[in-house]
Amino acid sequence: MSSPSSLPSKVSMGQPDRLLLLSIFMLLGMGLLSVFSASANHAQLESGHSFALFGKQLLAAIIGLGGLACCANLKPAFWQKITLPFALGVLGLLLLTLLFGKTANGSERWLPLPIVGQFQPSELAKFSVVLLMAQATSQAKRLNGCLFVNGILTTLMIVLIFKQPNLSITLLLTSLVGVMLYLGRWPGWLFLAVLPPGAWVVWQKITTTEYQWRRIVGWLNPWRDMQDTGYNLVQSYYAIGSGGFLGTGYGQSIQKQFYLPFPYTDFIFSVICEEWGLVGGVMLIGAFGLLIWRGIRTALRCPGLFGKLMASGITFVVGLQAIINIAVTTGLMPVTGVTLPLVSYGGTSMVATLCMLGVLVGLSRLSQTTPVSDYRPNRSSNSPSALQPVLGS
Amino acid sequence: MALPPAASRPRPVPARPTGTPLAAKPHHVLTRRLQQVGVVAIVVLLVLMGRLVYLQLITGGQLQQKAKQSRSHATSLYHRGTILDRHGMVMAQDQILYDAFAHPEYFGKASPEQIATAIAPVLHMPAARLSEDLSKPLSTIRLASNLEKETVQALRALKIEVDGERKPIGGLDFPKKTVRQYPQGQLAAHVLGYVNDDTGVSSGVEYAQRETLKKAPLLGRLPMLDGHGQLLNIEAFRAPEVVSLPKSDDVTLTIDARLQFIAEKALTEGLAKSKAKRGAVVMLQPKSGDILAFAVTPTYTPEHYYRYGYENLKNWAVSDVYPPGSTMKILTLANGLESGAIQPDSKILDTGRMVIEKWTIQNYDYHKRPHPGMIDLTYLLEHSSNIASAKISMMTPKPLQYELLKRFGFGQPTGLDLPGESAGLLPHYDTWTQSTQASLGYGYGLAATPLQMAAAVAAIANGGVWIQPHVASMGSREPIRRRVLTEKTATDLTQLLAKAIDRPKVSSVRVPGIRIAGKTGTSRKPSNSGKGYSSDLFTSFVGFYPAEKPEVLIFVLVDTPRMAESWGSTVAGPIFKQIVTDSMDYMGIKPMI
Repeated sequence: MSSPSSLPSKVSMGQPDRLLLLSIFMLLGMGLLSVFSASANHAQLESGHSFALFGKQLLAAIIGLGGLACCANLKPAFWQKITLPFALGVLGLLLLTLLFGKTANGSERWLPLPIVGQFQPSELAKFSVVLLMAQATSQAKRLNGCLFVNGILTTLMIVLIFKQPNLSITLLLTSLVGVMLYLGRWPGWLFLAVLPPGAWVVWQKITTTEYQWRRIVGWLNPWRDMQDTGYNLVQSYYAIGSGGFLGTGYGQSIQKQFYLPFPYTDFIFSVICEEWGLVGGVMLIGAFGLLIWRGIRTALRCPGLFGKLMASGITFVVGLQAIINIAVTTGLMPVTGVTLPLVSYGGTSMVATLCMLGVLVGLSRLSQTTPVSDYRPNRSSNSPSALQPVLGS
Repeated sequence: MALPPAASRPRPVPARPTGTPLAAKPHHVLTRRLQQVGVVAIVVLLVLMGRLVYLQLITGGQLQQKAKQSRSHATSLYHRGTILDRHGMVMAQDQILYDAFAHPEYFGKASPEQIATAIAPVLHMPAARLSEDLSKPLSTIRLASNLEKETVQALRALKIEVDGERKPIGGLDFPKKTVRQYPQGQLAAHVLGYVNDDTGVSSGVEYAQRETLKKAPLLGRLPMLDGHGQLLNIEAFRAPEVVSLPKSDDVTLTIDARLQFIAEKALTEGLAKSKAKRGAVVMLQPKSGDILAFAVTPTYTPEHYYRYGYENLKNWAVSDVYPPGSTMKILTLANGLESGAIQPDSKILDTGRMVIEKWTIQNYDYHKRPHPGMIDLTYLLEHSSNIASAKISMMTPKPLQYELLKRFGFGQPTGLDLPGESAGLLPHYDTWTQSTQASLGYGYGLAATPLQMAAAVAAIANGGVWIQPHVASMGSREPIRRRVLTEKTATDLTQLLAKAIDRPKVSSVRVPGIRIAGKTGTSRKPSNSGKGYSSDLFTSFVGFYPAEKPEVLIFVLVDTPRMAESWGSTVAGPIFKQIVTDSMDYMGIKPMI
């Protein structure tokens, strides 16, 4: 497939964006500390070793950092090349999960693997959709063959994840597709037109699925049914409220001691807020803010439409997931099973997110050495507007 | 290709050929749209931070408080104190029991039938029914309640075969709870009361002594529980406090469980015989104010108090009042003697019937003895003369009589250590007319609780000193004592009462070898409308013995007996006699023959 806006092959890589790296390490550091604190009791009870879950998470982080270092050295041209095979691989894994997957909380999300133990292919799907959509929307024409092929692959992926069923990741990927199309210069009115029927479909799905409807009810008034539908949220409120300004101190959370349902995964943010207080909570949100800012900046400065869209997609999918998780734990959204990227316990997510962010770091290395003003697209160098700087900051 | 809407263009670009994608244009659009997304992200992140400020700073204190409350479960961290009778017999205690719940979600590959078959013999329940229960489409199924620890251990140890492996049964849960137990069943229910800490309901001693029974044991700092109900920060506690659940202070009653049993048995039998509505027995030690037995019917089982109605649950012997009737004549004589209006050997003219302020009063045996003539005080007590009593009452100065009745405890609560006590009714002497004072003499014109009556007569048995009655041991505290009569008046009156019982008229209460001082009473029940009296009766007997050195006072009141001859001497008297006879050996009161 021709890619008119892709990067010229001869681009040297410069220094990575230090602030982007800082935000990643901040989140990783806070995450590892919190996972240890939040998982120790559960690990002690389940395996007899309070370090059991932390150890796994540390290993995943180390592998993930290795992945980050590798991905940070690869250029967009490489990602262009592997987009299709990667997508086919992910689709295959998702299909296997649906056939042989392990059940967790009523849905099949885990694929048993030798050595690794188990692994969640839906985490890889995020990056794959970013690649597919970036490739499809960076084409010269808005409607093109690539969009057709990649669109079908993306749809298949989303359908397979929906079938697991994993509604939260389905919605996350759908919004990712939407944003990629929007950034890929699809007209704005189209999204406004699609939104109401889309919302209607989601609403129908929620109101007809009992457990999802119960989540809505529990979210709207958690205090009315504190022991059942409102339990998670009330316990999260207790944790966050107990933190106050400075928190109870590291390791001092009480809500993690079997009150919060998933203290080291879905509700790790509540534990952080309890132990580190408002200071810690704001710091964590700030770290995500920094990551989003540097991610968008990288996208703005990145040469080539494919790189820009890839950077945007990665930033979006990580940022949106973080926002959803924090909104859920603070009661601004109904409970969904979305984890906090880089922070929550989970090996697949850790490795996949770090690799994905490695790609973003790699893109940030390009933007440093090839400021947009110096870069002339190979096709339309005669166009005056191509010379306009498009710096975002 | 369609252009983006005009508003979204960076600037007007006239005459650009449409349909040809411009390499720069996608960058422009992307830049602007990416900036939009960035702005939205900043706004959302600020909203999240604002939410944190709200949750942690503005409502943080409240949430922290609620969280602490939900974790501390203070009452489930230690046992409520035990209630003991005066000899240390357990009347009420906390016991740890377990409920059994099943969560089918966690059964794994085991079938409901398999689990039911395994647990049925341990639970002593039919497997078919359990299997049916376990197959219900519910997330939580209650299997059994109030299981003993041993049963739960046996259930936990059970293994079933799944995929050729023997595994413990998954999805069974046994939450622990403390249950208040009353090992003596219904015995002394109205004294003990009942308790439910979850709903904040209690009565009787459980309520009155709640401060002692629920006093937090010294644990250093406030213990908290984790989400599994285990103690948090165990290292902060001393070993014995964690190993055995600490207990609050105990309460020892003045009640003697054996006497209580005797009293309840006699009362129940007596009520059955007389087909009465309800009855009460107060047995107390005049010299200490200790209530030895307090039987009240209708009664209830404290463990299952919620199955009973208000009529059963209330201790009407402290909350309801009645006109004392003839038993009041004891106090009329006491007041007369104390004021000097009469002497122990005084004689009064009994005309059988008289008219005061248009009201005719007459003796109950007017038709048999229309004009008894000059009668002594023994005859008055024996035949329960209304006329003579009314006359003595009218001979006592009003303020002194009022003062004495007050000192006897009428018109004010006795201060009994049970909830719900009524003050009774004693109108001030300013409002007394001639007929009021006359009717006071034979026990109308005022209303008393059965307990007030017992305590008042006990003052005579105690040499003229009234003592605050109580059901729980007062420890180092002293009950209220106040002198009502001189010791001489009390002794003289006791002799008169004992002599009257020796006469043939009230043989129904006589116990060979024991001199009893006492008086029967029969009064008409005030009508439900509040005006006048109904045809229903209260029959009572109050007596203490041995007359030489009173050890025990027993007051018996029967409400609405429906026997042919319902009198104090035929209904309440035999109950009194039964209690005296049954308790004689046990109390070491030997008949002097």
